[in-house]
Amino acid sequence: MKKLILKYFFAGLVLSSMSGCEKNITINPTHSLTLENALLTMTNYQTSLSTVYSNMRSDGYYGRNLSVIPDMNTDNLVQTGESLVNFLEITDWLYTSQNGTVSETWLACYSIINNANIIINNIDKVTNATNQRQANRIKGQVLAIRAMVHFDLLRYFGESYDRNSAALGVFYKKTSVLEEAPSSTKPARQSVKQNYDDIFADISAAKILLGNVDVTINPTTKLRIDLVGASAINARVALYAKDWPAAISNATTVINALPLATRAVYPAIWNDQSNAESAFTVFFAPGEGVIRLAGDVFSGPGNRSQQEANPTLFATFDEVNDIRFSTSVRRGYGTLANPVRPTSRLVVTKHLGKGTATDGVVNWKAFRTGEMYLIRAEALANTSGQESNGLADLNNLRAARINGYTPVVLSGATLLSAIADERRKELFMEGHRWFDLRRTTNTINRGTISAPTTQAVLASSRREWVWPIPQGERDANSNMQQSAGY
Amino acid sequence: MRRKIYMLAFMCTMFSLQLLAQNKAVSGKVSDAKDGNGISGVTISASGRAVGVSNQDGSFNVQVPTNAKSIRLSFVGYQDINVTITGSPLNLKMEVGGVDLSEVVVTGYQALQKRQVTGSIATVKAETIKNTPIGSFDQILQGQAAGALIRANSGQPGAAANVTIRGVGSVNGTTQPLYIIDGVQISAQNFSSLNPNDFESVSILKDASTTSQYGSRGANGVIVITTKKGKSGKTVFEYNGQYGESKFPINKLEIMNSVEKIDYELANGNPFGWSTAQADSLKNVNTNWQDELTRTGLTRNQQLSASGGNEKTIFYTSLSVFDQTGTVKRTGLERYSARLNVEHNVSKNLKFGLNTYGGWSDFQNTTEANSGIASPLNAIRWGNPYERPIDPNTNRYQLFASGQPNPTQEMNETTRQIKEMKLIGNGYLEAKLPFILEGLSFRTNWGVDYENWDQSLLFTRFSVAGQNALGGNGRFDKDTRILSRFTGTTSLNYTKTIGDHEFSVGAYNEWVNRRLQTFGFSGYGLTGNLQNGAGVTNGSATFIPAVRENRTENAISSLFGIGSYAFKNRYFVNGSYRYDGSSRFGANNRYADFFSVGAGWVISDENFFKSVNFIENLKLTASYGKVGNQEGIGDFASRELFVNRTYSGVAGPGLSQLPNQNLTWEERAKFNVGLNAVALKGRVTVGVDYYDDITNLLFLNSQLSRTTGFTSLNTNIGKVQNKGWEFTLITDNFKSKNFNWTTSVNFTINRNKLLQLTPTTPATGIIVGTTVQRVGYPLNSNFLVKHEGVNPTNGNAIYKKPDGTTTEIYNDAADRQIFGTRDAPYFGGVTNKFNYKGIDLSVFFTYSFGNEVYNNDRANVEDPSYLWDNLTKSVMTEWRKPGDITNIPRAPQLMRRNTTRFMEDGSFLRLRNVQLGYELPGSISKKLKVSTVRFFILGENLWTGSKFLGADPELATGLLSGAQYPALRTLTGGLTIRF
Repeated sequence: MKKLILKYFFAGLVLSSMSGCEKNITINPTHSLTLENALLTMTNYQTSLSTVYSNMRSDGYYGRNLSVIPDMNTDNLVQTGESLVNFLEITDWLYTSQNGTVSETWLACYSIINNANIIINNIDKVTNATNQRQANRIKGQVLAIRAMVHFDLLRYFGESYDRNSAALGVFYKKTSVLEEAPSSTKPARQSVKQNYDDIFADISAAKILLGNVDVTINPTTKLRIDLVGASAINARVALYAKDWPAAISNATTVINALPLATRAVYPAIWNDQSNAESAFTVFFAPGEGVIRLAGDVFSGPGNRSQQEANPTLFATFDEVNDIRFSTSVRRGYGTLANPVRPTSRLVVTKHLGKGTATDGVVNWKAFRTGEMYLIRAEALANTSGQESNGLADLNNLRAARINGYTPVVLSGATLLSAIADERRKELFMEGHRWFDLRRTTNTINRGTISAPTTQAVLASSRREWVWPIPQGERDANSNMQQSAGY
Repeated sequence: MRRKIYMLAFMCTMFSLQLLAQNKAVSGKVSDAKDGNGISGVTISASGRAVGVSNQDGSFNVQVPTNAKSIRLSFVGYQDINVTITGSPLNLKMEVGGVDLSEVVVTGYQALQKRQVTGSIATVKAETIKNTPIGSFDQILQGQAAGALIRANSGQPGAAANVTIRGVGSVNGTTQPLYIIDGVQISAQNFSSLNPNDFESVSILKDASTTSQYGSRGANGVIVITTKKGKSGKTVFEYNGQYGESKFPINKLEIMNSVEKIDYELANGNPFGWSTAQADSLKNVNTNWQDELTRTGLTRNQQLSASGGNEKTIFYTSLSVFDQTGTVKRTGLERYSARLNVEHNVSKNLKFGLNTYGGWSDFQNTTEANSGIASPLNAIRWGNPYERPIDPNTNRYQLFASGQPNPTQEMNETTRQIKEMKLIGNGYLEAKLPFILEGLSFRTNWGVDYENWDQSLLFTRFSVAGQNALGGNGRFDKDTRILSRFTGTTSLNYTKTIGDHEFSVGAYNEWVNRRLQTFGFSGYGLTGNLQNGAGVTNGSATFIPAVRENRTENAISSLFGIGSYAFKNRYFVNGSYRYDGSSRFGANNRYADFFSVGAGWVISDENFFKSVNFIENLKLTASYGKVGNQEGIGDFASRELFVNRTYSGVAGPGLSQLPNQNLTWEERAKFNVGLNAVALKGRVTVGVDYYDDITNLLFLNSQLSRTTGFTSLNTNIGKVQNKGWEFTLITDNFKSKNFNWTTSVNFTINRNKLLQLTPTTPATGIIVGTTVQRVGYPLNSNFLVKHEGVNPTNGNAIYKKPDGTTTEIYNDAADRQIFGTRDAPYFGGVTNKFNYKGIDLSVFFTYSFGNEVYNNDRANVEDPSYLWDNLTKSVMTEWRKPGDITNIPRAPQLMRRNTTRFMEDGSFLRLRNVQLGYELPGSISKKLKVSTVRFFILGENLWTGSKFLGADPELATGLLSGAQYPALRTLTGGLTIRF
């Protein structure tokens, strides 16, 4: 009897210990979401906008490559001995398709676009009559962002800025990885004209949607793109496309909504104590990742001034009366006792920090009224019969910045040249110089250079004006044609 | 026809499960020749097959064939004895030592006699591991076993080693072997909380027939640790005490002193603008930063163990304290541990046991192997010698003119501490089930590996890192990590012997589940006096704390079988089949099967071999099989994942990972042939193995168009091959009553070759920094531009292009070439042991050669653009005027790092361990009422021969990034008392 019990006991033990296989290995993640639970409601889509906006803070986009690199690789900044020459390939135009900054930019832009497309292409699944206006608010923002980011890709990688050019632009991506097989995605470049068509189409669609929303997008802050923000994007693209009427009308929309700041308020724009003039500002804050805007130009915590402001440029400022001098640079500035810098050293302090902080973590002013004045001035100066209005915009902007400014009278090429110079001063360290030079003179001349800078001149014939398609893209996708010269 | 009838008869015999042979009984007792205690578990065999084992007290009573004249007794760690059957009870003694085919080796699921093994297993014994003053046991295995390349990357107390068995077989997956302790899977890496003195033996499983039992986890080899068990009889206590000191070695790469550095600066444009008076005064300050940050390290190690028991119950228990301070200030490891292993025999058919271990360690460390400016070990190289640790005027840390952090400041104002609690336990039940079927047994073993890891990281507000933290006033991080891994194995085994035929089959079921949870926060604003967690400023918008949590889990569930057949204890065939399911993989590829077949032939037992007198044992083995690897990828690697992204205070889902439903295991096909021989009356033991392993379905990043927003997708594609030879030679060079000398040598040749990459990889291969993974070449091949010296006329560096021509134009896209591999293809160890009366001396060398390593640490201090910080003495010989013949280019020229200028020979020979011991004669110890007293002196890493320009040539990845913490040179003295 005992034997029999033992026998059954062991048989049972063996069977029970050799039970179920599938059940044991079915494990679902708890600390990340999957397609089954990530995007089920309108609220999910609304909050996933955060991914799109926060991706703008990556190094490949406003974290560095579309914010400070366009000043570093031109004549606005001069590399100093405190630099660890980490960006010499980019700043001295020595890049090939292997360059890390180039591939980082390419990837960062398409990463924002992919997240935008996830929303654009799937939000209709949760849209109904009652939440249509909420859907408009969400979809309008991402359409504008999709246009803006493709435009930035075009600015670095496109072979031309001409509105109807058949030259190679970039690929305008309208699908996300949720609708396609990533490993079989092998798109080719489209023409510049096609890119502009798509950009304008997206902006127009965005503006319609943003004009019919459930709640105000930016009641107090300017940290998301609303109708005014979309107009600002439209104005900038129109300027590059030389679509003067569109540039004028969109810039006017922004200017009317957001007047120029006074000289008293102006410095507060740069330490986030005021959002005057702001059409779209990207939120940077210590709590959301310590990303030091311009930390590769001047880093407050380590007291490193890797790049100084070009003294030749700042010699053209009225140091005492022009509020932009003291908000852009400080002579011989340092946050620690060492190293000691001479007063001739113009330390860049435009993005020093919020309030009194010197950590470099500060919002990125992507679009603001100052730029809109210059866009409108340039568009008007290029429109026959409107030159005087263009001059007025220039004078008004200067009057707002310079104490005791006396208006000047200029016309023709002199006026256009004055507007270009004003852009350089007004938009110093705001990510414009490289593109403005490419758009206009197509030449960089740094004058006399010293170590560690190695290159003085970038002639118009150089291939480097167009960034190469990154090698990684070409390895995976040979359809993406390389730009000329690489 | 007649043959067929015999065959039929034979088969009937086989299946009738009846023993036809007549038996007789042999009884007796076996005990240790030295202490006289009975030895349990001794295998007793007659006529070439096992007939039983000894009981707890060493007694035995076995049935042997009537015609048997003698019995053979064998037990792990003892020399075999052959005894003639007298008919009366035998009183037998066994002596410690001996290498023989009957030695038992442990594969984790099975314990086999060496004779039965058809694959390749290396065993490291307890006495080798014992007393080595190293915190992490994997480092101790270095040079002990052929085929295992173990590189201690660091001398930091408690640091883990890099272990690869039979070559690197994965690119994106792990190359770490699987670790099993008493049947329970434990984490690789965290060995600093384990006490190696508790280990009875360590088996390193290398080939298919042994590793395929572990199926999807065995591809990188398996390290099986068995802990000590008690012996019935008198309780034996053992005390071990050890004390010693360690020194920081000399760095062969010398940096400038103050006079040299100031002169160099003055010759290169005086970047700081020193006045003559300033320069002269600074030349008088001569800070040796290495001396400022290093010290004499201390090692204190004590252990007390007890083992014993009776016929029913045996136990082993130990307590230990290990305390080692590093040669770099503010580094060290303290460990406290306890173990209790108990086994109880309920009846002759039923036993159960419990092994429990608790370890607690406190590991204080500094960052190493990086090139960051905040690492004190970099700062000791880069800090200018004319700077002082403390500014004599302000009595505060001196701020350096160059803006570089002050090493003393960074060291004193930074604390990195890990407190770890480790619990390992397993319980088992073993039952023989003769009432169901004779030879049938059941075993179930359930265990857990639990790790509680508590890490603190403190940057006070006086440190540069603290000033760079959010709010600029210091940072305090706390992270906990709780890992629990359950392993449950249940099996039914059946063995049967019919005449000359021995069968054994086992059916197993196993479940392994790993759960990891992490939680941490970063607090900021240490504005007050308290520079620790209590000083964090709360509720302030300037100092927003960050909180993080994660939980993840994976599991495998398996069914497998192991079978073996032996004929005449001379011919062996075995096989295994395992069916694994893993939670990690895509729905399409969640299950996979693994297998092996092996065969062994003891040639020396053949009649035709009887005439060969000088070889006692000769065995040929071969095995082939397929095993897998699944580590190194995320727990949810096959899934589409969304994580939380926050913008302006709003968090929402963001796609973070693309799915790959086809993701599955890496598969390694292993082939092995081995020949083992014991010759000249046991004085020479030789082992030779040849292996050829091909890993297929490598985890590789298949490149994607970046327009997807992602760079690559983890895909199973690609192949890598490792093949090579392993040699082991053990010789008794001299044997006499008073003096003995033995030598053991092992040598491995491993050839690694990448056979296939993804179609999206360009022909150049995958470039990773200064290395490349290219088809047709070994993994981790150096990929550099050849540096051909300096042009004497203009001081420019000269490079050699692949076509052989030289150029001054640096073009890394076109001119980089492959120069050797980072991983040593030749390595091994040599041990010499001498005994003279009570004195024993062992001298152990390890060596590795044939690899080229990259010295980025040297590049950092030879770069003239870092003129603001300290540089090597060699930079003083830079080119300055036409006609200068030198290897250092002119100063303003941009130094190119991706050149062979910084590649160095990675070969080294190291005197890893020397031990001199003296055991008191038995007469004296008897007077002291103890059984053994032994004194010893032990030296670790006392001498290293190498051409490498650094403090230590042993580099885990063949790359010295910077901040090197070299291996400790330790001298300790100790005492062992057994009573």
